Formats: sequence, C-alpha cells, structure tokens
Amino acid sequence: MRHPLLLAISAFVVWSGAFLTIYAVQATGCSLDWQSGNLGAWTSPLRLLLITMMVASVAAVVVILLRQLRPRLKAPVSETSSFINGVAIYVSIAALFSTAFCFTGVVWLTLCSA
Amino acid sequence: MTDPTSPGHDPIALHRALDRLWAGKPGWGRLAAVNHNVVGVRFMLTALVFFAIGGILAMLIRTQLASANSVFMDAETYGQVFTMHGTIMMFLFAIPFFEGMAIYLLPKLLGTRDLAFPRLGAYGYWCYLFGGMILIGALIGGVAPSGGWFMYTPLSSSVYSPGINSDVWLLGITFVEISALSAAVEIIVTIVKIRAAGMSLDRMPIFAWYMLVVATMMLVGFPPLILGSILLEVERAFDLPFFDPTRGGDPLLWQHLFWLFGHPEVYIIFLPAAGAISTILPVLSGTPLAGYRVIVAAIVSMAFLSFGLWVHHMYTGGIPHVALSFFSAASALVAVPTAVQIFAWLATMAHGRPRFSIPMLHIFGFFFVFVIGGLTGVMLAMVPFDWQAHDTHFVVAHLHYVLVGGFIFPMLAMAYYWLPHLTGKQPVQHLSNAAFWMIFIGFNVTFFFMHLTGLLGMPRRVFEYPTEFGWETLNFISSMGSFIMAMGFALVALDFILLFKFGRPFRRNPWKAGTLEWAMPTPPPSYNFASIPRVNKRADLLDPDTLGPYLASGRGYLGMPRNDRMEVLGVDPVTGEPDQVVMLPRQTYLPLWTAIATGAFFLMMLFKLYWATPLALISIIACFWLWTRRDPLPVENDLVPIGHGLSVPVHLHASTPPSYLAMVLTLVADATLYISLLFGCLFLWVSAPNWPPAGFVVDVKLLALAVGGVIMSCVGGRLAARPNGAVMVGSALALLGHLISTGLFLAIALLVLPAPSGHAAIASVFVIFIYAALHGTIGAVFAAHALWTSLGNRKAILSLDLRIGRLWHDYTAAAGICAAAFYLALQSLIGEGGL
Amino acid sequence: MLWGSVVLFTLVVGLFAATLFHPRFGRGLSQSGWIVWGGLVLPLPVLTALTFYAFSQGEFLLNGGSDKTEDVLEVRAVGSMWQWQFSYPSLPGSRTATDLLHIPAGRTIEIIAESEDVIHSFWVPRLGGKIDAVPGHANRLRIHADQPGRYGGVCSEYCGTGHAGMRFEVRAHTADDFEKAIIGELAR
Ligand code: HEM
Ligand SMILES: [Cu+2]
Ligand SMILES: [Cu+2]
Repeated sequence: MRHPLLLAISAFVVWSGAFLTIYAVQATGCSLDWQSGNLGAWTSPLRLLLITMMVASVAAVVVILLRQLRPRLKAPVSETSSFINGVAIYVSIAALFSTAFCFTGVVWLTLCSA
Repeated sequence: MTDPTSPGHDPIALHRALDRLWAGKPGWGRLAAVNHNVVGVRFMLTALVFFAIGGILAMLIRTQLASANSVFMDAETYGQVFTMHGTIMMFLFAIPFFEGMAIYLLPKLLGTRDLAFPRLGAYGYWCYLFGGMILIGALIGGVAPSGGWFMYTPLSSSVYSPGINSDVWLLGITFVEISALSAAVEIIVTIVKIRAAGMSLDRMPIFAWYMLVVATMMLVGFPPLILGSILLEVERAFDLPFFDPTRGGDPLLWQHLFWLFGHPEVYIIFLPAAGAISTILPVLSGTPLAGYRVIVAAIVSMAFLSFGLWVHHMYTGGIPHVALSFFSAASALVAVPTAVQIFAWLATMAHGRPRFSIPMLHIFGFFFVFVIGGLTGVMLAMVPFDWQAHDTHFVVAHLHYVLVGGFIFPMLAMAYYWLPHLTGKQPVQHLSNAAFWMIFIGFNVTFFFMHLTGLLGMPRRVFEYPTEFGWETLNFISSMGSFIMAMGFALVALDFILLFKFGRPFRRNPWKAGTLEWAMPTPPPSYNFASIPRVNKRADLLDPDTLGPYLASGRGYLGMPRNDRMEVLGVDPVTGEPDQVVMLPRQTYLPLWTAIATGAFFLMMLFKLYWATPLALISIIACFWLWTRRDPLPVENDLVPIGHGLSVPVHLHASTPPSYLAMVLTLVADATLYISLLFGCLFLWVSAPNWPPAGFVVDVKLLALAVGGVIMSCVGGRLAARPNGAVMVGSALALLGHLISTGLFLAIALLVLPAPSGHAAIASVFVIFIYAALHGTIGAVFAAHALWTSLGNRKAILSLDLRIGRLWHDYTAAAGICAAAFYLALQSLIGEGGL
Repeated sequence: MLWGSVVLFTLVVGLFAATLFHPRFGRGLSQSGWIVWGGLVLPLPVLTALTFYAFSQGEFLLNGGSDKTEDVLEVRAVGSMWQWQFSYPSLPGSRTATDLLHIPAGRTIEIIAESEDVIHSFWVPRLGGKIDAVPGHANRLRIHADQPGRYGGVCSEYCGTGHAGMRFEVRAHTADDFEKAIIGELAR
C-alpha cells in the first residue's frame, strides 16, 4: 500500500546510500593508508575504488529510471498512479543528475589530507 | 437507534451534538484539552512569546556591537545572550511555530476533524513548554548556555564548561525535541491516513505534500541531534569520553552529529513556509498553482539533497578536499529545486491576475530577501570562498537572509492571510503597510551591511572589537537598522491586537480560496466539519462557498455522532477511499501528567539526582501504559455505516490503523538514532586520536546467549501475532527472551566491560549494549502486557496490540544482533589497527 | 560571483515586479516553460561551472595559492585559551613566539594547527583561508604573503570568553630579516 511512494523515491535512496558509503570508504581508506601505492601513472587504489563505486551507483540509478520509464501496459492506469509515476520519474532524473554530479571529485581532487 | 447516517439536516442540532463531544472544558479543564485547534494555537502563541524574547536578546546584541569596545555587556554575558538568541530562535520559535501552524491547519486543509493522535499533540506541547521554561529559567538565573547555538565540544564539555549551563542546553533542547518528534509522527500519520474521502495523493492540497516531506525529514533529522545530546550529556555526567581526544574520543563526532541534524533543520524551517506560499500565492493570483507535480518532485529531491550537505559547516575542519567536494556539489545542487519552486510561483503569477494585498506584500519581502540569502548561500557552498567567509559576520548575514526571508516574511504573509480564519475578523489595515516597510527596510539595513563587515574580517561571536579595524561605522548602521526593524515588529503586534479588538466580521471565504479550510464557519468550531466531505478534484480547486453549508447540514460522511464517540474517516493512503472509522480519544489530563513525569526526569538529570531517575522513568512508562486503556464504550465488530451507503470497519479491526503506522514511524526514528550511533562509534575508530585502546574482551558465549534471547522474543512475538496464533505461549516466550537478553546485555555492560570512562571504544560498546537492554526492557513490558490481557481474554482488541508488539520485538531483535555484531567488528578492526 | 549574483537577483525580483504590475506579462511563456527555463536551464549551467571552478580553485589554494610547491616552510601553530604559540619544527635554533608569527615573504607557508584545549581557528584574512585547530588533530593550511609587511590575524572559532581578544600578528619579512627575526635578533 505504501509501496508506490517508496518506489518513487528509490533512486534517491540509492543516492543516499552511495553518498554514505563513498564518504565512509574515503575516510576509512585514508585512515588505512590506501591512497598511497601507485597503480599506474595517476591513480591510487583508493581512487580506483571510489571511481568504481561512483560508476556503480550511477548505473543503479539508471536502471531504476529505465524501469520507471517503461510504459505499463497491464492494469488500466488511474489518474493517481500516473501522477505517482510522473513524480517518480522527475525524482529519479534529479537523483541521476545528483549521483553523477556529487561524486565527480573522486576523479581528481586531493584524496586525503596530509 | 435509527440509521444514524441519515440525519435531519438540521445544522444547529448537529452543531450542538458535535460540540458537546468535541469542545474543551472550561476552567482547569483547559489543561485537559487535546483538540488540534487549541493545541495548534497554543503552540503558535508560545512560539511568539519566545520570538519576542529572542528578539529582545537580538536587540541586546546589536546594542553591544553598535560601538567598538562597548562596555554594555561583558564577554560571559554576551556569550549567553548570543547563544540563547540562536537557540531560542531555532528551537523554541521557528520549529514550534510551524508545528503549531501545521497542527492547526492540516486537518482543515485535509477535510477532517482532528489529527490522528490528539493526545500526542498535547503531550508534545507540554514538553515544548516545560523544556522552553527550563531554558528561560536558566537565562533569568544567569546560568544560560554560552557556547554558541551549536555547542561545540570540548568548549561545552565539563572541563571547559563546568557549570550547569551546557546541561541546560542539552537536556532542555532534548526535552523540546520530544515535541518535534511526536509532531512528526502525528503529521505523517494524519496526512497518510486521515483525509477527506476521495482525496487521493494527486488531489492532496500542496501544503499537505510539503508537510509530509517536512515531517519525514524531522523524523530522520532530529535523532542524530538527540543522540549527540545524549552522548555529550553522558560524557558530562558520567565521564564517558566520546568527545575527549585524550581518551579516544573526537570533537569532530559532535560536529558531524550536530550538522547532520543542523542542515536539514534549515530546510525543515523553510519548507513549511514555502508550502504556505504555494497555498497563498495561487489564491492571491486567482489561478491554480503551476507545476503541482514538479513541485512535489522538487521538494522530495530537496529533502534528500539537504541531508547531503552537512559538512559544508565544517569546511575548515581539516577534512580532505575530495570529501568536501561531495558536500559542496550537493550544496550547489540543492539550489535547483529551490529555483524550480521560485519559477513555479512566478509562472503562477504570470498566468494569473495577482491582487495586491498585505500578504502579497510580505511575499514580495520573501522573494527579495530569500533570493539574496540563496545566492550568498551558493557562494558559501563553494569551498574556497567559505574558507574566507566562514565564521564571520558574512555568515551571520547569510543565515538571517535565509531565515528571515524564508521564514519570517512567509510567516507574516500567512498570519495576514489566515488570521481572519482564526479570529473570524478581517484586519482594519491601517498599520499593516507601514509595519511591513519598517521591517523590510530595517532588515536590509541591518543585515546587508553585515555582509561587508564580515568581508572586512570581523569574526562572529565577538563581544568587542578595536576601533582601528574600521568595523565601527558598518556595525553602527546595522544596529540602527535593527532598531527600525524591532519597531516594525512592534507595529505588527499592535496591528494584530487591533484586529482582535476592532476587526470587521465577514461571511465565508474572504480571499476566494479553493481550499477546504474555508468550507467551515470562522472562527472554526472545535470539530471543524459537521460532516466529512468527498473530494473529486484537486483540493485547492474546490468551491468552499457551496461546500460549507452542505457539510454543515451533515450531508457528508459521519454526519451524526454515534455512541458519543469522536470519529474521523481513515482512508487508503493512495486512493483516498475510506477504509476505516477512527475513534479519537476524549479530553484527558494524561498528556499533562506524562509531560510532568518526563519533565521530572529531565530536572533530576539537570540537578544530578541520578539515583531518583529510575523513579521518573517508571512513572513515565506507567503514564504511557495508562494511555493504552480504551474507554469502556463497546466497539462494533462488524462494519459500521458512514453515510452515502458506505460501510467500513472500526480502526481497531482495520488492516493498517493509525497506531500501527505510528509504531512503524517511531521505529524509523529509533533506527536512525541507532544507525547514527553505530556509524558514530566507527567514525571514532577512523578519525579519533589515541586509538587503539588497551585490549578488552567480552566472552563471546555470553553474547551468543544474548542474541539467542532476542531471537527467542522475536519468534515468540511472531507466534503470538499470527491470526489465531498462540497468544499466551508466544507472549510468554517473548517475555522470557527479553528478560534473558536484557539481563545479559546489562550484565556485560556493567560487570564484564572495563570502566567505560577509560576509552571511547569501551564507552561505545557500553552505550550500544545499554541501548539493546533498554529496548529489551520495553519489549518485556509489551510482552507482559499481552500476556496479562490474554489471560483476561480480550482477544478481539488484542490483535492490534499484538501486531504492534511484534514490530517492537522484531526491531529489538535486529538491534540486539547489531549490538553483538558491532562488538565483534570493533574487536577485529582494533586488531587490524595493530593491538 | 558578486556580479553574477547581482544579475540573478535583479532578474528574479524584476520578474516578480513585472508579473505583479503588468497583467499579461509573461503569459506568452507557458507555465512549464517558466519552470524549465527559470528552474533548470538558468541555474544548472551556472552552478555546474561554478562548482568545478571552485574545485580547481580549492586545489590551487590547498597548494598554498602558488605553483611553487617544493619550497614549503612548516610552522606549528598551537592555540590555547587565548593565545597562539608559533614555532618552526624544521628550523633548529628558532624561537617559539606568542601571538607573533614571522614568515618569509614570497614563500609558501604550511601552518600545522593544533590545540591544547578547545577548538580555535587560525585566520589571517589577507593571507588566505582559515583552518580549525581541533584538539587531537593536526590540520594543515597553506598561506602565502607576496609582500613583506604586517598582517592582522584573529581566532575565528568561538573559544570562550577570551575569544574576541585572541588576536595575533603576522610579519612577513625579506629572507634576511626572517633569519634574524626567528632567533630574536631583529630590531623592532
Ligand atoms: C529580529 C531580528 C534579528 C536580529 C537583529 C538578529 C541579530 C543577530 C546577530 C547580530 C547575531 C550574531 C551574534 C554574534 O555572532 O555575535 C545573530 C546570531 C544568530 N541569529 Fe539572529 N537576529 C535576528 C533574528 C533572528 C531570527 C528570526 C533567527 C532564526 C529564526 C535568528 C537566528 C540566529 C542564529 C541561529 C544565530 C547564531 C547564534 C550563534 O552564533 O550561536 N536570528 N543574530
Ligand atoms: Cu548548512
Ligand atoms: Cu580561540
């Protein structure tokens, strides 16, 4: 019964989860000294890990958005459910942009303070 | 009795019958009031008193700063004054004011008679009042908190603030926050469940969407602050070193917990005001709100984003740049949903015929001031700029532009818009214009120049400054502006008094609004609607002028009191179709008594009478237990007719009654607190100095046994709650399981662990185990209650209680398992760090 | 940033006034047009550009606001209620000074901020950003003075009743004078 509302925000829930984990991994990585040790020319294990996480979370949000965009052919669409679906799509687009935008820093900014 | 739903359509007789049930009692009986009209107005009036106090403190600040080297106040007094100014404005004015507004307005906008939990509202009010009085008492006694409204440790810890001052803040504010959490639960359940018939999600008034989002934010935003306050109070009282760097604590933990609450708080204050604008502006523009759907999506996005910004208050704390970048990007992004709303409002105006009126004037004030605040906000969100402007008067200017723009001006617009509803009178409007311009000009003079003072390098929270820095002229201008503004507020107060005294009465709907609150007599009767409407389009496009008389004559749903009960409709959350009749409790002194017991607990903590606190705790639990006693009137076991040929069950037999939802929400808040606690303790391992601690061990067998106990109670609770389940056996099992696990967690915490004052790691495990034990204790009370009642065989009603109990048992089990897992995880991490 | 803000502010308030005083103003643009243009197209590029510019500016400042990053001089700044002690871990024989920080002009200085009691914050408005001195942590900040001269500094995190008076002075010297100053031999 409250599922439609929860589904509507799922993309942003992913964003929140990604936010917490990426921040936590970054802090833990710095404290365990994962940033040093070079993998190739420019990157460190920690940076690589963070980039992977960023890409994974963007992918997860994309999947959610695609599912919401798929037209529902079954059950006759009531005004209410099309409303909720519409809101859900807007929210997921916002979440997609946020996920792609918030974590770009992991690619090039200073990882740990000295 | 004949069919109660086909009344004689006599509004007067119906009014008498309903008013007899719903109206409050006179004299001392007022203390028993639970009606949302009464509680809402009490909240707002009390908040205004606090606003006046906070305003007077602001004038003291400005007097002090008007000249360099002022001798008006000394440093200590100034510290108390600015701390209390900030604290009062944020915790005792802004939040309670809009809580009161929501409590008053929501049922009316949703087309119903009261909130879901009237007693909870009353309890929240008393907690707010008593908590606020503790703070004001301290201010008068000269022992007010003085470390700034965000109470950074270690300045607020017992070493550097040995007096009672910080305790007043920690305990008083926590006490007040009880009212915020209870309001959050109450508002969510009401919006989700208690509406007019047919009010599906897409037909809800936009204000309800705003409040749904705000209340959810409160539900997850306040627990981190409450947790922080508890931990700091525990450090001050019992020397558990969560924030003490010499023993493995970290002052940064406090900052994270505080701002994890503190930033969403700003949006919690702004969104209700924005909701009011979204309600008022379309009416004044004579056209429906543009972009309803987009606005809903925008505020949902804003709610999420606002939880990802908290570190922008800690840019100068030495956090790595990449981490700052997440928060900086989110801070920039949060401006987008705001821009969407602002342009939706502009679109509404562009496509309507805006009428110029006093509320519109204040909305203009909002646009002007808030946009500036938003722009300086984006500047501050940029890390390099913030490194410069942080903790200067630039920030003070920014935050007042946001708060006054985003809250005070909308609030004044609301006041001018809805006071006719509340009083039944229209303003005389001689002073309103002048008052607005004085506030508006005074405000801008005061705070615009503070930006410059800040950029010239004046830090905030300084009680004096030397002449040669060139800050004096600007400060003097600011102070003059603030006095003009203060006079403006005095004029507004006078204006309102005149309205009460000499306002013109009017017939219905002075603004030609399309929302349900105008489909009732003004001032509103205690029960709002004599019968409950059916809504078949968006609830801001209705016609209150014809709906009002129709409802008053009892032709909607529930148009006749039945069995002397106070009833409202419960609806399906999505479609808005009625699915139950909710019986509301009558007036009672219980909320007051419970709040007094709660207050006694806080006072005992404050005056360090720790030995007496168990007594207070027991009386609080006893009081709440009394709440569960239902009035002896019979409860129909079959469907009851609600009018128009519909019949629905009574809420005690419905599939999702309000109380069940309330328990789910309470657990969400509780879980947020617990997760913050677990993360916080792990944060110490990552960040705090002086780790790892000297080794300490707990016998894993004891832990395994405790986990066995919680699993047992979980299984027992599930057995009991199954349809036709084994109530007695299940409850007994649950009780036994809780006793085992609680006993073990307590024993480990108190007897096995080394003294928790030795190191923050031990203190973390200690607190987490106590948390598990506390939940076990309450679970045991639930189980014992179920066992006791099942012996008396009141099966019918029990099933709801059992399902609620099951939720608690499940949660307690999860919490217990996490507690044990946390201990093991911490041990292995410490091992890794090199023991 | 300032001018951008002025433009945006004038735009929004101007639109408000226009819609209010000019009936039919803005009817030409559909409601969703208003929202899309004003709520998305207008802010998104501005914010994105600003954020990325701020990121790179932040990196630059983290390096001390100059490209010369090899020759960094470390200074320990220890805050306590209510004064600062400055010392030079890498310069043997240098003296610890109270509320007076000598630095060589033209060289990047790395402040290592620590605290003995509560949180303080090191800030010299004209030389760069600020950094909190948090007990138990050693936070770093790079500052840079181009010209010899005197610069005022303040504690910018509230630290109790002496907070307002917790000021200090930074003196930037030429290289020679600096050598003398830190061993206390520079005439005032
Ligand atoms: C009525 C006019 C007001 C004036 C003249 C005023 C003035 C001031 C000033 C000068 C300060 C800075 C004190 C300092 O740093 O030394 C301050 C701080 C503050 N004000 Fe106001 N204020 C007003 C209204 C409000 C309102 C309505 C709110 C919130 C809803 C508010 C919230 C705060 C907060 C949170 C602080 C920070 C306190 C701290 O640093 O701990 N103020 N105010
Ligand atoms: Cu913030
Ligand atoms: Cu200081």
